[in-house]
Amino acid sequence: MQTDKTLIPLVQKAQSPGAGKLALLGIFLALILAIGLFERMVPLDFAIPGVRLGLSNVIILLSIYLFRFRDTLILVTLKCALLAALAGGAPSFLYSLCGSLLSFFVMWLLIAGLKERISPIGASVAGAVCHIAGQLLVAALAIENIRIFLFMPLLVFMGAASGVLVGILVKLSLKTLARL
Amino acid sequence: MRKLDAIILVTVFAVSAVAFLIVNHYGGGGNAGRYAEIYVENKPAGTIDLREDRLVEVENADGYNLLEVKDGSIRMLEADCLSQTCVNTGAKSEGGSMIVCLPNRVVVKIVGAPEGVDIVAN
Repeated sequence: MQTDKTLIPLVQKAQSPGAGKLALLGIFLALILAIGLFERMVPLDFAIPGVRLGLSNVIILLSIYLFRFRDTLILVTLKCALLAALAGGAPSFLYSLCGSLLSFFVMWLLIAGLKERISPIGASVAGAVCHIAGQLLVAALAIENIRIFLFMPLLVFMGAASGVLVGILVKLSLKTLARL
Repeated sequence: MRKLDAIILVTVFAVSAVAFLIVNHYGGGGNAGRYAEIYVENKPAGTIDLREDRLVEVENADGYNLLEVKDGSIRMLEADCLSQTCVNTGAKSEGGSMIVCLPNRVVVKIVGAPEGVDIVAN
């Protein structure tokens, strides 16, 4: 989508009709899977269950800036399905899908609605919080126990830190890509 | 970084930090747990006294989990789930804390002793 003026030529190039856009989205998906699989090899699970670096969100957020809603929606859904098939399992698909979709919707709304008043960092942090909230919500429903939300403050704190990192990376990426 | 970003960041970090302190002070601390309640597929499946060292096997349609009680705390020793998050949770012994294996739908909840006391006055 189009936010500030410097991004307009980049968005136009990314969304150029035909094979170019499809190829770019394909590369994005491949990157997401590579990053996601790599992240799963680095367990941060010692203190809290389910902690991840969340670096694949760099690509998701980039996609929000560069492509349309439906393109990123497909990207997010495929990410969850393929990662679950490759390195997770059936239950993890459900949890990650809910978290990722909620995170995507919120980030998309923030950027579409606020445009220049929010930077990738703020959007990314908001997305991280929603991702965690979505996953905990499904987990709470699955074990019929709301006390799993006791894990939330620490998860959110660490998730927000990761969100800041992701936001900075997205900001740098956009600046670099805009100069291509 | 715009003003809105700063607001979001400060709010998220501050609220989560405060919430963490509240949760740890009120829910996690207090009585050392004495029993671990096991729930399989959200149905109670047994209560273990944490004062006896033992191994507990939990086997259901979704998978296999092995719990170890040792020195007053309990941990997930083995599980056949792919994520191994439960195993990485480590040992728990405080009232209110939990070990959860979501893929196998096993929940272990630490419950404090009913006659537990917070302060003993001499």
